[in-house]
Amino acid sequence: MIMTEPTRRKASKEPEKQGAPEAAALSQAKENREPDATPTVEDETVLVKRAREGDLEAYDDLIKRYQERIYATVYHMTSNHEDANDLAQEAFIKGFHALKSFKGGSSFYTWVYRIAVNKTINFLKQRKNKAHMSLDDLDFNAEHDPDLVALISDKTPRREVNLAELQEKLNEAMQKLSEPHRLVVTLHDVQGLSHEEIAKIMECNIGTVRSRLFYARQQMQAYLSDYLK
Amino acid sequence: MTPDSENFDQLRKLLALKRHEVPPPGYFHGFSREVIVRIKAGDGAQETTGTVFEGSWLRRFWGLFETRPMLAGGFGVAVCGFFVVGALISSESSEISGGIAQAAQMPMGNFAAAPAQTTPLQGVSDQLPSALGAPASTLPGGSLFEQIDQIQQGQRGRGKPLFIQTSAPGGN
Repeated sequence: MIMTEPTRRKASKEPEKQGAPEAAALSQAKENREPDATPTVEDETVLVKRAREGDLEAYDDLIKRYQERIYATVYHMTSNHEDANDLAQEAFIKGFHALKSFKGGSSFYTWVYRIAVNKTINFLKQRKNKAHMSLDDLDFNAEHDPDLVALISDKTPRREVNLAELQEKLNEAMQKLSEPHRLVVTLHDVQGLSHEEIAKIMECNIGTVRSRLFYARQQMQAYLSDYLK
Repeated sequence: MTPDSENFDQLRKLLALKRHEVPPPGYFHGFSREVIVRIKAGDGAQETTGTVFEGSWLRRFWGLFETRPMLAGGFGVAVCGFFVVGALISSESSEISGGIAQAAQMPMGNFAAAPAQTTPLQGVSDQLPSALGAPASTLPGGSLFEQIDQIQQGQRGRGKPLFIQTSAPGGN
């Protein structure tokens, strides 16, 4: 299950604090929208404009939209919850301070993703071989995923032990990849982004994304040969 | 479907396990608040004292030392060297200033008769008898108290008691 959009939204805002016409437009848009509806581009543009003027409530909304995806990307790159927490927070902080330089050529989502990815790659280069895994727990649905169940031996009664072992091996294999290859696998095979989106985030062409993905999968396949039938 | 793509499908199924890795429950509830607090804290510090710049400068400096231990060692040696050189220079300069002070206390005509080296305390002891009315040249060497005793004995011999005024001038 890919991380979904956060559904929690602020129920009300103080109208006297908003003031600007775009703030009123945003409030109107929020009222008209279903609570769980996907945020529109117009909403994002208004929020970005307000955040650029220093409105932290608007930026708070932007964070809530993308926090799960940003965290997940950084986490899958580092295999460490604490590092992912720090890097994701720092990416959003840097994003806020750099909003003035955001031209709007790409979506805010792509832009902040790029900040997080660059920060993570710089961090990993500094960390080098001192990798320390601190893995998140598997959710309840993992045991019921038919694809995963098929990969696990039915002869073993303690299924959760096998899943935990598989998770560790998978993360170890991921950490053996170079940063660009790990990023492509994370964005495409784990998070389900398209080649086009990945190319925008990594600022390279689609052909490069495809070739990196192919090479990374080959590497992963070799590392995990014992677990692939 | 080629065997390769079949294998990649297996790999992709395995990679799906990573989608089930989730942070602790409630983790995202406070995430944005923490970011906003950090942004506010950073802005506040910048507005008041500019310590953010200093902090980041120090942090970068410290980070450089962490990544390059050789640089940290070199910096430590440089600091130690600085203190050693400073201590040597200060001891030399105190000797020079002591010599200058002695030279300033000594009369110009006595340079030839001056001992090779005297201490500032000896200079003070030489001054004290002359302040009591006795010429310094008539007094033999010795301690300060011996010199006072000798002066007192000399005064008694000449019938003049040594008078030391202890009360205020306007008393009695």
